[in-house]
Amino acid sequence: MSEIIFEVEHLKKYFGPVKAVDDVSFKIRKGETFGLVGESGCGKSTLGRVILKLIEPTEGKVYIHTSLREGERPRRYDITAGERLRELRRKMQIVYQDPASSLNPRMIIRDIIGEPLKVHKVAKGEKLQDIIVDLLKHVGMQEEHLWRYSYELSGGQRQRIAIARAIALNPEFLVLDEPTSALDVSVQAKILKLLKDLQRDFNLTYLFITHDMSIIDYMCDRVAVMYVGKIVEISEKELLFNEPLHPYSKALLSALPSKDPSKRTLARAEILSGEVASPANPPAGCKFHPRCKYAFIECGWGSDDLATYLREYMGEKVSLKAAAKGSFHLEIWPSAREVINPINVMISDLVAKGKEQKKPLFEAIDGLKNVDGRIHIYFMEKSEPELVERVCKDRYVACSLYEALSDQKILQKGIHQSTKKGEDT
Amino acid sequence: MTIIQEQIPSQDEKILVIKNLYLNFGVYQGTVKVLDGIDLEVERAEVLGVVGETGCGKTVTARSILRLLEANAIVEKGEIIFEGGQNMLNASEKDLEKIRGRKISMIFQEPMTSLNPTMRVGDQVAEGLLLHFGEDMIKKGVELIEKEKPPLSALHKNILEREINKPNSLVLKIASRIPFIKRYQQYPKLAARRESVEILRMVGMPSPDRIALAYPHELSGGMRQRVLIAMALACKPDLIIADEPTSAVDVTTQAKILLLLLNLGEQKNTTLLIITHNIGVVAEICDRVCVMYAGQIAEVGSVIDVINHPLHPYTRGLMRSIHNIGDKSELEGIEGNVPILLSPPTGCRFHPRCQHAMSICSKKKPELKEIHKGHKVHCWMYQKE
Amino acid sequence: MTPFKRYIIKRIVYSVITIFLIVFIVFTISRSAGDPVTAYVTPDTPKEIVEIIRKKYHFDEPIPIQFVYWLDGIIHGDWGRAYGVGRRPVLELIGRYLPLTLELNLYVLFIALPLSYWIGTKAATNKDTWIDHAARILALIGQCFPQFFLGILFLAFLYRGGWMVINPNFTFQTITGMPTIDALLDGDLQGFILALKYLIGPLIVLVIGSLSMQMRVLRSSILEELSKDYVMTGKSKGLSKDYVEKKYARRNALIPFITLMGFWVANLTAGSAIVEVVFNRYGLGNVMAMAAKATDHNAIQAFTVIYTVALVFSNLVVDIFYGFLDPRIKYGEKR
Repeated sequence: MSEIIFEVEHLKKYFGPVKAVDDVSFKIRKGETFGLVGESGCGKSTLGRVILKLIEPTEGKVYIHTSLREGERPRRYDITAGERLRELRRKMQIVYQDPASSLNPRMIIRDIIGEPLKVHKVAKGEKLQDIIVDLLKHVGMQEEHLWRYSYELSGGQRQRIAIARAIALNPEFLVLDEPTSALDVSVQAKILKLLKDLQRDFNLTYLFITHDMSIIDYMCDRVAVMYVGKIVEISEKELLFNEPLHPYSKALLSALPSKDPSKRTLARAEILSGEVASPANPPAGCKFHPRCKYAFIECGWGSDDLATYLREYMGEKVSLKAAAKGSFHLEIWPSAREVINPINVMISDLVAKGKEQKKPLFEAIDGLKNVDGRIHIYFMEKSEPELVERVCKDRYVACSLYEALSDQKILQKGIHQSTKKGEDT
Repeated sequence: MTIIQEQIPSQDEKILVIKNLYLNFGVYQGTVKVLDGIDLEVERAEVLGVVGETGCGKTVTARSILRLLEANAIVEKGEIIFEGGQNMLNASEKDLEKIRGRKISMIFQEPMTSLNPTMRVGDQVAEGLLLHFGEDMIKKGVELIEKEKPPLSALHKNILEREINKPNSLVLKIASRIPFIKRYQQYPKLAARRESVEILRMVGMPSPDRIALAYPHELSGGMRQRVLIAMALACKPDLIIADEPTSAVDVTTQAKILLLLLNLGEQKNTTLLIITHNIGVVAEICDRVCVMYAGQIAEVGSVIDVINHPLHPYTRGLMRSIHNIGDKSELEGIEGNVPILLSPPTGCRFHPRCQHAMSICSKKKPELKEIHKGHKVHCWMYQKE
Repeated sequence: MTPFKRYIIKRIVYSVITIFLIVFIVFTISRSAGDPVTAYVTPDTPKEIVEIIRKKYHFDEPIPIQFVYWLDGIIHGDWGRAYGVGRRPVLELIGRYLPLTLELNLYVLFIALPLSYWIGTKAATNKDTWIDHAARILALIGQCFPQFFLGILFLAFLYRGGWMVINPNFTFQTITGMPTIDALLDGDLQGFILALKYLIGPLIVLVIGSLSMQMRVLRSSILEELSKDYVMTGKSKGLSKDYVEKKYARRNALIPFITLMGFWVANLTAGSAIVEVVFNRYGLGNVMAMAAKATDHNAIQAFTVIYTVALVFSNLVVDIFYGFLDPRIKYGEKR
């Protein structure tokens, strides 16, 4: 079953300066559950909506491979171009996170599920009702629920209705955007099981978006990890959990609390410094590098990093001001009370020492100039690492570490004892 | 280092005992019977988790300890005894104010909305210090004056010393209104601010001196949660109640916060009561856990006992709904829905959904029976009538 | 430039634009309604004279040109003559009548503001007690009964009781133009009491109207703040109910309260015109009403400018003040 059903190519969605989805590419195979995991602000929900063209993409292409008529051979349709979008919509649907707001409170269940069927003129009258009842039964509800309003139902029941509505038109592809995050654990379990059953019965392909790694483990075949609008790793589920390639995936997994109290792991968790980067103002180069244990010279150190460093380590002793003139050029000058020369000396000392200690932040400094009493620091300009296939077939990672080392060396070293050039600066 | 003296733990009794707590909410449609006879004992210096799904009453239980309930909450009966003292449910508002923030403090769920948006973060931490350690702050303020000798220092010092000895004197009332003289009030505040920077540092806040001057909207969610924790710690309470402390933050931030809480429990000899729906959190940092369902306690025991060897059918159902990474087994939910507490099931409230329900389950509520050491269950399967 | 400074400059620019636009629109309307010349002539005036007058005042030109001429006059102090209301220069009229309106509004401000603050707080912190109910009923009355109705009601009562006058004869010197102040400055105690009696009718009606609105707003915004999480956090720290109600909830509730003061000024200006007419108080509102009836464009135009400036300016002040109260505005969304 390895035909491709969904293709995303260099997809971008920018909301002004906020790069919610920043050049994302991946392929989904027919029949699989493709997981998309990440923390808040990583853009996964936006991505889910953009690929169905519910939100207009800024750039990029999305293709679906399907057949629109009975008996036709499946061909590739360009969703982003909008060709035959209305018909294509029957093939791809979405289930949202919040069951309360995704169902129209003024419509009874029969109409909520019936709406898509009516719009696409699938059936009318009694035949329509039969189909709806059938759908209800498939999601574990009863005929009596036809006449209810959504507010009369529990969270789990509402989500079942949302699912029924999504499969009403017999789609091939479903985007599930955190479908169980708003539900209690015991209800989550039932809905996840239902989703698995439906996938099997109706031959569905899922894009499963969530922040919960255990759900990823339970539901997904392959997983993409997102960080600040970019996919940093795509792997088969088992491989991801056992041997995460990207440092962020590693940190994410290590931060997971164990559910077995006799096997606690938290104390050994890899604690990431700093906060999740903001998509409105992301770091230069690799967006994860300021927090990365393994970051080295290639990772895109720049103005923001040095400015933060100065503020934290020097801010209390001396008053400096720094202005970022672009990501790789920092200008430093003393605030009114300080004298120029000592600062000058201090900064060059700092840089020299940093280079000596092989701290990547300083190793990446290309030049240091003194112009009119202000110090200009120039960093090497590095770009973001690309998502490429590394280590073995079908595994993708976007990390300069892997670009620097050959596949063999990586396997040799074992990712866990990877090149730890430079501890936390 | 902070100047506040460490709490010296007193006798080895249970730090908190909730006995037979029945609590209702009066709503338009009738009475919601939220708590139906809660019995809970918290040991000193332990980390106790209270776990349950929507509507189980865990947050209400936590809030009722400090009596931070809505106006329509009515305690039908029950006692909450803190450190062997009086029943907190009968305590006066004044007594409660002395305990809140000082002996028992609370960390809330939503860091976004739980901080005063128009007050600097450092000041919000300092507030508690000034309230409960006013005298210490004044003394520190005096020290500040002696060290830095600002203008009018002798006068201010004099007034501050008077405030320690005669807090309500007329002289003070007048002095606090006169423009330049009333500046004496800023010294204790300054002392409290400095102290709050130290506390922020203790909870792992980077650049605490800068952050203390920030407003809540300038900080990220994780940082705001740390501020809440700092506020709770400020007066070195004996018991900290954390209501879903990590539900609103990312996994990576959650790990940091959990480690911080774990630290608190171990090092500072503080008792922690963690309210959560997340079993992972409980498994990682709790010593014991209490499982609640629909206003009743299902099971109580050590984390290993309850999570790995659950006795109560609900707990078992719960554990089977949770997926452990690497596990190949199928998930199973629990049949049915959480009951509406306007008209809850009689007897054991779980019986309509229980596979092992017997006739007695709907008639009478089971007692809390200790099955083996420390592991107690509320279930007729384990006891005879 | 800090985000706050940017905010202030933006508000100032908008205010200026708003004033300009409103003044222009009113100008256009008043010069377009009928033939502006008719205010200056009688039906008997010979046609040539009419034409001369028309040319003199540029009524034959397109409206935008007329506007420019008018602006030019304003800048040079020539606000025209109020041909419909006594034939005096408009500026003189303003000088004579504005202080009376100003006096009235100031008294209303200084009474209603603290009162609504106090009552609003009491009602919110004693929710559902008799205090709360009483306050809300009073507020309802104040908002439901139109001002002219209350005015006539009070007129009947107060006049009969000798509590108020409608045609005072002031003997003291006019310095500021505001009777109560002038009386005090002149040492005329009788005059002062007379001035008060002249004031009291409109004052009561306006105070009731303003109180209702402001008190309800404060009450509901305090209640809203009280339901927020940070109040619970405060309580959990041991802060007293009183402290949390006043220093937490009320302080943050002031933001909408003060925002509404901008509207309040609007209400006052409109409302004071009505009560001035009812109580025969010779303030600007009263004169404006007369000017409107007589379609005296110079007067209407001038009064519009004054009112507009006052309104927009007070809103501007409120907006800037608002920035001081709410650090989210002052510091912008930083990180």
